[in-house]
Amino acid sequence: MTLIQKILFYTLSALIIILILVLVRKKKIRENDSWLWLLFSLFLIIITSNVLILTKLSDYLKVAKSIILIFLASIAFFILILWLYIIISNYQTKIKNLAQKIALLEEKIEKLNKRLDKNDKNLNEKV
Amino acid sequence: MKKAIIIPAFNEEKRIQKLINKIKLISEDYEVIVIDDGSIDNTASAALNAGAVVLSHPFNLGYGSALQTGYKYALENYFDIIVQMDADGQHDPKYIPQMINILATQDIDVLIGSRFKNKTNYKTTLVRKLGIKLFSTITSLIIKKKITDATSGYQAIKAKVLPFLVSESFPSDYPDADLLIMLDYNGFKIEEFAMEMYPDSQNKSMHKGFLKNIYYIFKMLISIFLLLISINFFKKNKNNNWKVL
Repeated sequence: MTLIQKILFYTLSALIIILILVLVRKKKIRENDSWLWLLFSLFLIIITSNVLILTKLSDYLKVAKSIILIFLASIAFFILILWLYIIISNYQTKIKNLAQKIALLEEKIEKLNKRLDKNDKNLNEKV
Repeated sequence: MKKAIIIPAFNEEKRIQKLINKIKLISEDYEVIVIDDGSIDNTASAALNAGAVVLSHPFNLGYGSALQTGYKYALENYFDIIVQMDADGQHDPKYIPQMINILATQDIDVLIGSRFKNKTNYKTTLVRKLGIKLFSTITSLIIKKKITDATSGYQAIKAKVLPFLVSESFPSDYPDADLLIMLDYNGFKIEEFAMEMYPDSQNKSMHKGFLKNIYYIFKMLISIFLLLISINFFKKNKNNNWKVL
């Protein structure tokens, strides 16, 4: 990897980390989930700084570096998407339960309102 | 004995009133609960005017979730027997008293209304017929009991099943064959009740469309497969009830 390529990759990784930190600070990403994104950028830096890992892997597996890189990136993306999907699924269950609770509570409120109206009417008649 | 009739409804303002009136004519003793699943028409007010209790979802959650809201209401309000039926006119309310009577007098927890137990005039598409046959056969093989209509939405349920139905194990997409397997695994007794059903006059079935049918079959097969893995995996914990699933 040439020096210019290295500088470019380091700058990109650094920019991604800064972007994540800014997003966390601005509450655009929850602190709870930020670790995954930071891990992802760390993965980028490791791959950039340790070309040796790639070279060794490529020699061992007898596959071109680019293919290993694509494979590693695919795995990283897959884990990221899977993690996000788990979070979404959790929210879907919570949203469903909330919507059901709203429906049940609305019915209860309606019932109570009717009872209150009836009581008011009875009271007025007595007065 | 408190009896509830649960009807999930989505954009059924034209048919819901007629159905509720029919049920009320059979007996005033039944509490009709309509779950308006985010309809954009006047389903809720039509049901309310007909004398039903209406539970309105703020947005569309799907058939299974609508049913589950009804179960939650029935559990909170201590109903003893719950009959669930569709709002699209496929299910005739005339069977309700018989179904309730069977549940009240016999050792059965879930009674499924079956179109195929006896020969009836029910007509549907070949794909749907094959789907029903496939899932009924799979269910029968797994629970070791002949089930002829595993996808029927017309069912009567005893109150003791409700805690299971409101748990997170309940399949909120299409609760059909997979739910029957879960119920059997958890020790609930299932039987079928022969009845006539009618095709949906407005053809608004939730399984309408080729892609929806494919998705349904795929989803159900995966669901049953996952269920079998869980059941085998957790076999030793069978007494721990449904929470292990």
